[in-house]
Amino acid sequence: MSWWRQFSSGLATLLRRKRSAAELDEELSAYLEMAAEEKVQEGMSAKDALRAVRMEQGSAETTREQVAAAGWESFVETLSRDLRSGVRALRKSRGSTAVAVLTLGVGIGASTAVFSIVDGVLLKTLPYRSAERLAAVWSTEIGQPQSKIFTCYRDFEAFRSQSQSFEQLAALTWARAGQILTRNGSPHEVLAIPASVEFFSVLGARAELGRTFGSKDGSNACTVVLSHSFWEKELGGPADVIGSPLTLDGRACTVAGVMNRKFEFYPKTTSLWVLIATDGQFASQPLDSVVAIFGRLKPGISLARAESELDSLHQRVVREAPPGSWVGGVRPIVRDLRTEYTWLAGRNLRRALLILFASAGLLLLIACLNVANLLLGRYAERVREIGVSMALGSSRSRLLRQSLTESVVLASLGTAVGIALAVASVRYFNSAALVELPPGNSVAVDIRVLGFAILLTTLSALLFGLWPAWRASEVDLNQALKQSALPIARGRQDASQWLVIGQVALTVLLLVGAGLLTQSVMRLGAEPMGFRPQGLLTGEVVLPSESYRELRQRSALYERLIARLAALPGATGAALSSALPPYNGGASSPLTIAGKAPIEGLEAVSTIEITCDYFRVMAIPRLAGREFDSRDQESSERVAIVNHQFASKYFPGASPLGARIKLGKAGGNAPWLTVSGLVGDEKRTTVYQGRWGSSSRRWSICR
Amino acid sequence: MADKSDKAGEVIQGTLDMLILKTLALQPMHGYGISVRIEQMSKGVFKVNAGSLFVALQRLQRDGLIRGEWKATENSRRARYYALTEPGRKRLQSETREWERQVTAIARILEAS
Repeated sequence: MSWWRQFSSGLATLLRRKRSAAELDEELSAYLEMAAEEKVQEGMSAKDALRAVRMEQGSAETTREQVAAAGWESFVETLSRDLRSGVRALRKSRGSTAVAVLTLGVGIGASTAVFSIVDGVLLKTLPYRSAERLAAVWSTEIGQPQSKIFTCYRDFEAFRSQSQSFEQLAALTWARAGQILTRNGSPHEVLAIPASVEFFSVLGARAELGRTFGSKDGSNACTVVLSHSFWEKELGGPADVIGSPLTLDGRACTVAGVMNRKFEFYPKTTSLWVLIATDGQFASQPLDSVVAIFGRLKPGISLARAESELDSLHQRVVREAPPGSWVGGVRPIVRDLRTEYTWLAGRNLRRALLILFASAGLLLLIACLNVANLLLGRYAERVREIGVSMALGSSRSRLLRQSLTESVVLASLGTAVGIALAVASVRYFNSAALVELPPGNSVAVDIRVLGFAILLTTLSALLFGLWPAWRASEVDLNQALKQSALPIARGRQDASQWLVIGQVALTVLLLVGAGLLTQSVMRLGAEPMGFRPQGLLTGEVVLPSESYRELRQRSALYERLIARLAALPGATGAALSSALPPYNGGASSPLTIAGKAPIEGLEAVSTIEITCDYFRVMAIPRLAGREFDSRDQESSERVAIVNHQFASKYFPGASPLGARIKLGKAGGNAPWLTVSGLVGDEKRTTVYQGRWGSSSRRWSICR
Repeated sequence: MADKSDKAGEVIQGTLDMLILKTLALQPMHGYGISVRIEQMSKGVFKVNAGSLFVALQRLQRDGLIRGEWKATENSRRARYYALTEPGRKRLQSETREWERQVTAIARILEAS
């Protein structure tokens, strides 16, 4: 076989169709004439001769068709003809075509986009070294199995030096307020995360400029590594930043390096990482400093085994700690880091994404059924047309091929819409940041899912495009032309009915689910907050600690601040609070009530510090007792105000006024407070526990 | 091989190619001439119809085994004359050899029982 000759000859025939046809015709007619001539010589009349020849040899037309069909170019011709007629047919029933294309497009696009998101957030491995072996270590309160809190630094030191289950362990903490970083005289508000020296190497992350923490840095006063976005956006990306000095909350620090652009860890808004120094606060108070721990397990070590090993190490720490220390009330737990990430971003994020995924899958299914139904319907209409075609000599395979082509065109259009939709959705999702996603991989259109969705819809388009054509061409032509094709109609109706039933069922399912979710969201929005948010403006202030170390200094500033704010035109009052509802829960602490049994739990109550006008400005009702006023100075008796939830939990049926409480364990040295007021509840979420905190207030300053 | 049933004279595709090549090996000729010659040489056993002939001619041309060009016939009519090419000649030789091998083998089998 000469491929080139095959190809070029076929191509020539395609392009010069007329000339090739004319040549063949000429050759054929010459052939037939010569045959006829011979017959004439044998004694036949000219007319008889021609007829005889045609009978023997076949007519010129059939011969021509035979020759044409033998070449490959005929396939291309038929294909293009079928395509054109398919497009024409689709254009004729524009309405149902548009609906089918849109349905396919939405089905493919939505399911691809949602699965890509689910894959990026839940399934893909974290972009760190040996991510499948990374695990997080929390502490859990004994007796409160749902709790997850930071672990004491002493435990971390023990784990780090003695654990056999982990290759490497690192610690960091994000339980801190913003700090002020000053470089070249200009201040920036930053989130500075203290991290242990192994932090970057556990993750296998490299710096883009300079280096990450090294073992020698422990002896420096303060070493930091900047995040790429902070360095680029806040500092302007200076090339000379390595080794340059800066102050963080008054402390002199040196920059060891800048991380690369793609590196991210929880929390996402980290500006820089500060090395936990060997002589710093963590090391000198290891039982009172708490950190989040994570590490890389050795190959083959399971989470359960690591947990039991860490538990025994923890017991040793408990034995060496002073009796009654809080560390005796907790136990370490080890969890897979990937799941913890998702949980940190949002306790319901995983569930929400899975629900969304299931819905998208249902949508895809509905799309397939819809298209199937449309195609079925279309063919029933064209039964008569098919009958006529077959009567005219169209072969069955030709009919099937035509319907196949039509379905393919439909499926391709739907796929194109679907791909466009998927890409646009993912791009929008990434840019709009609708959900706070855990740091990790970015979300991109997943090729596997796209391929799967396309395959699924194409198959259904093909199946339901071909099947009715198959049935229609089986039918007796007479019947098809005479009657209104009852047998086909009945068959189609059955199938069509099932398809519609299926679609309606799935649609109702989706609608009910969506309705319930929407209702929940609306209810959340309409719930009373406990305070009046209308007309309320809020802001945040971070003070550099070197100038405001003393309470006296801070009080002075706060007083001036409140006075200035309250004097603004249109303002009816101003107040300060250490945590604003609804997203901040205040500081958690244990609780002791004089005269009552000890209360379990390290986080029995959450506390907020406020200035005097707080309740008035927030429009929180005072239920009993009094608010903070000028009687409460630093020197007078310490008082607290509690809210309704606190009172009903710890003083059911009685008034809490006058009770003496302490924000600490019974034996500890937290000061006793007298409850002097009772106010209404505010709605707050607490980030880590998800329980509403019962809260009390402690006075801060009052004019 | 000829099948002397009601499909009298039908020739299997591969065999037809070989017969055309053989015919053209003797001298170049046009389509009708080929079909007449084959009928003659086979003493009426093989009757080639126009459809199969022209399909075979197209195939042989595309395979480069024969070459066709327009010429004038004896009656000064325009006809397309086909001639054997060098590869065509070689193919004819190998096909003939193979054919003889097969025929001998079949004959041996048929005679054996």
